[in-house]
Amino acid sequence: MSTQTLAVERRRRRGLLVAAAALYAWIAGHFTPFTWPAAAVTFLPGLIGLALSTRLPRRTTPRGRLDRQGWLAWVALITAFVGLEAYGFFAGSSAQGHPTVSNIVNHGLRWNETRALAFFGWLAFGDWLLSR
Amino acid sequence: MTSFEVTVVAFAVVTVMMLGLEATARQRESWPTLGDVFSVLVRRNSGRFLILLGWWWLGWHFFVR
Repeated sequence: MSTQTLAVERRRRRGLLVAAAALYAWIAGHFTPFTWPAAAVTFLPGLIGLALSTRLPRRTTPRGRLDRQGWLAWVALITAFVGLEAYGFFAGSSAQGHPTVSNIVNHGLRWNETRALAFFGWLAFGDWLLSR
Repeated sequence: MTSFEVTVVAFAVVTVMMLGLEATARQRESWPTLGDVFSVLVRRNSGRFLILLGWWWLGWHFFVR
């Protein structure tokens, strides 16, 4: 099989996977939180992701000799984000006073369509993590 | 401004700065991207497992609870 045929086949499989994930997310977005169907559709990809996490080979290796300032900038911003989240959590975590990310995001997850979109994003994020 | 608005703006500022840092890192070869940050975190199997566990918790938190 030629390299070009392999590339086409890989793209086709990737396309099918994305379409299946989109359909799955659309269905998942229509389940009401706090119900067992919502728990089941979230549990399944999580279980698959965790199982694959120890089995899939690494596809990237950390690049060496990267700028120290860049690393420090990431550490500073991630610390700021976690700090804000912790502050909101310990200050009462409310949608009126000091919100956490959950309080803010939950506003947008009231509709089935946005929940489906967010679910698709969550699946894509998991796939991206597994591709590291 | 209410405390709610201040917190939302603070989250937005940090998020925009992260996006800016990612854009900068993609232009400068020597700066780490968010992908590089995660590549380091998942270097070991235990790290990869914990990061995926965090991802699972995130989904559970937003879509189930």
